[in-house]
Amino acid sequence: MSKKMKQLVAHVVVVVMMSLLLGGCSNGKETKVENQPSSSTADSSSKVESDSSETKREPITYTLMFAEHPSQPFKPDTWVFLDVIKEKFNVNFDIQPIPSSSYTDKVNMAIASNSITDIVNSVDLNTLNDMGGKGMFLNLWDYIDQMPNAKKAFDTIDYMAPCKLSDDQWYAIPSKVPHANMMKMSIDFITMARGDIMKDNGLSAPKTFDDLYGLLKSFKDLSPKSSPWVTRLGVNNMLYCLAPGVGITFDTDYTVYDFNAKSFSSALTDEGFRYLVEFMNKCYKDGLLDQEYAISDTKQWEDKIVSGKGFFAIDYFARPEMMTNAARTAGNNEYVLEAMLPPAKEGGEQKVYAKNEAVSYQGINAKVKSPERLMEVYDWWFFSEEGSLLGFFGKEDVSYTRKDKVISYKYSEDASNINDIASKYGTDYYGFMGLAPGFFDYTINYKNDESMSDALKNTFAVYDGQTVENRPVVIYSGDALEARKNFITNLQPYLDNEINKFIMGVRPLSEWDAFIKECNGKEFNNYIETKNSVHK
Amino acid sequence: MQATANSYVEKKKGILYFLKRDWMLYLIISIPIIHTFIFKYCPMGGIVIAFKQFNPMVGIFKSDWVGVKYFKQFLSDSTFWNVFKNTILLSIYNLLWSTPMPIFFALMLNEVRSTRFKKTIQTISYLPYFVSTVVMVGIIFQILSPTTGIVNHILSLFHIPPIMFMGESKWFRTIYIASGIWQGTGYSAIMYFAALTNIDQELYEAANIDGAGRWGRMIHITLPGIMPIIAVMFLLNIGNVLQVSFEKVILMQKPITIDVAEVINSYVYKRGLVGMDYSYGTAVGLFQSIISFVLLIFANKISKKLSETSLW
Repeated sequence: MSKKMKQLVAHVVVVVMMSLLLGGCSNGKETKVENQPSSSTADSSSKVESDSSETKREPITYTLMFAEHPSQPFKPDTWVFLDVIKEKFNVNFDIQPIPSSSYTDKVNMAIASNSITDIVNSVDLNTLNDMGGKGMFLNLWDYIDQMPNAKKAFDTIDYMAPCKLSDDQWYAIPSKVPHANMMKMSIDFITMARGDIMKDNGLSAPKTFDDLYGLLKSFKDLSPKSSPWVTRLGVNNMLYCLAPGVGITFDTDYTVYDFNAKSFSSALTDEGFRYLVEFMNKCYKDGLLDQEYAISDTKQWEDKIVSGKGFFAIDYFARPEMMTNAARTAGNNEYVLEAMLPPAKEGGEQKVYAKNEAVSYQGINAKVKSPERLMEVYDWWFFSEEGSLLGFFGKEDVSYTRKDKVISYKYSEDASNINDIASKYGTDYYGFMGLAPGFFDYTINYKNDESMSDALKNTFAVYDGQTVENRPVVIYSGDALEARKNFITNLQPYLDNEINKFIMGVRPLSEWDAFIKECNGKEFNNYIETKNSVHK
Repeated sequence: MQATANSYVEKKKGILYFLKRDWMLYLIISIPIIHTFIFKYCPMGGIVIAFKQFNPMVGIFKSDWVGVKYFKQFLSDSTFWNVFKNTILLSIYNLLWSTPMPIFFALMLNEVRSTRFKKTIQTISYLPYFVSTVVMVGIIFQILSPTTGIVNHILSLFHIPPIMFMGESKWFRTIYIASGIWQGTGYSAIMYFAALTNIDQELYEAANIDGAGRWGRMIHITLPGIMPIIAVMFLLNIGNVLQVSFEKVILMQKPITIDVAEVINSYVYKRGLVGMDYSYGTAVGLFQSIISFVLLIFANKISKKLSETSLW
């Protein structure tokens, strides 16, 4: 190789390496946008524009971060609200799906670097209020005069008030909301057991905790190698579901609410709570509660409940139908996972808590372009009856049918249960739904819907009207928010851990009083005091 | 004499002369330097948020200065000290078990005469290293399950009741370290295999003539031959002593084992990133780095004195 040639090669190598380095330093924004699946319905826009009354308004696109669960992926082609809102308002959403497992990390990183999308879905209410107060999220109250439906919602719906940070500060749009008649969105956890086996063996649904113990024992006798009670939810969610049965208003931070005194106190000193821990300890000791209950994940739980290694569970409202379908698809045509009311002892009720707060919230970037247009969309989408129908059920005659205010789900081959319908049409638990005041009158037709599965019908029938009042919602800010964060990182894992130890018998129940002292040493009392002061 | 004169002349020419003459070489070396500066040193500026009440809206430098507030906060927090204890214990056990294993493995394999067998074992021992942590932890959960795991199945053959390995705090460290040894021994031994090939074969021949057996040769020739690399590897491990694998710990920990499974890295993640307490998280992370740095310097000095091998 000649000297000139060598020089030429050296130059080329240097230039290539420098460009690679600089390429690595660039922010890659353009490629990122290209790689993101976009909901912008560019191909249909021309048609929509010509058909729509919105043709005079400029099309506008808002970016939106969305938590995508692998079992319920984002489907831009079938999610109905995208087209409906495009058609009605000429507004597009550029949805950026982020795996739900790392969604919180990504949102928090975006917040820390002040680079959030126009709309951020599934954000904690305290975070929205905290960062909203600092100017990151749009104060929606500034636009309340042009949001008549939202204004009406604030006047009439209880759970709207906690969404506001102060009289003139509103950052959090409730986007997964409770609705008593819909039940699925107003009940957290329910109890369920193998109805087919109970019927074959003359077993009945338990009314008391002793009944439940007897039922679990019967299951164990029928299948000695099984662990009849299987779960995946973690200890405090199970306690939350069973707590109305011992007459307490339990919160998952191990506090109980006294409606008379209007204050929270420690669940650890409550007899009812102790009874629950003792009951679970007895079940664990006798091999009735899954020995792996504290470490089981969803997949393991599903395998156990479908394959007959478990017979009783506490889980979400849609699970009896989902698991029954899964077992039948696997070939067990007799399988029924049947919803039943939780047990109760004297002083308690066979009921579950009615949810009184939204499960998740959305925030709008304070720097969003044309906020007025977006607020117009939200006022309709989240706070009008039409918008609520869209968020809860999708499009009429596509994903649901209705007679007056009675809704029937519309099943299809690829959406044979209510979770699949939600997944296909982007409705329900995805967090794109609000609630208009008038929407409370709507009900689901479960009694006369022939296409609805028996498992779901039964779930609706068993839980219809079976809820009790839940503890009030406490909104933290400032120092109280610091204390709350401190509790969640430090004390909550400790409490979960110790309660598990008592249930598993790793720590004897004789040490309960010592445990209470330990908790006070770790400032549990101070946390409860802070919670009470914020509540009051 | 000639060389001294040349270097004197070159010194006189100054840096600009060399920059001009060897500009391409300087340009090439500038790439890793710039890279290191941008990606390793510039982010260090962010450490300042440990001393500030970080507010994303005003940025790092305009956030309010709070001094050592967060350091005081975590140093007076009993949870932090439990986390610190977990980290130290996990690290020390890991250091004590994981450092000698590859050495032992390399020495043993070095004594194997069949080259084919040696290479096969070597290749098989590397394989676990390439299994991703997520998959590995999944495998651990499966094989240690009290109901479906093979380990408990074998135990049941001896009438030992099932053990919930992943749900009992006392097993956490053992499983963490044992799985680390299984995964990393083969790969870590590569360094020692390389060092073993550099030992002068004549030493072995001389020892043979002197009547040294296999054991004697290993103790007096092989082990001293690889001692410098053992010292360097040990020092590097000391520097990482508090850097417990974040990913593996997060995947392995369950609420029931959190009392031993929470380490500084996972705590910083939960408090700093998930809990959005960025300043607190950074303060804890900085504290961890300082301890690691001090440990490294200390160990380096000791190594320099004892074995005359050091990192700098």
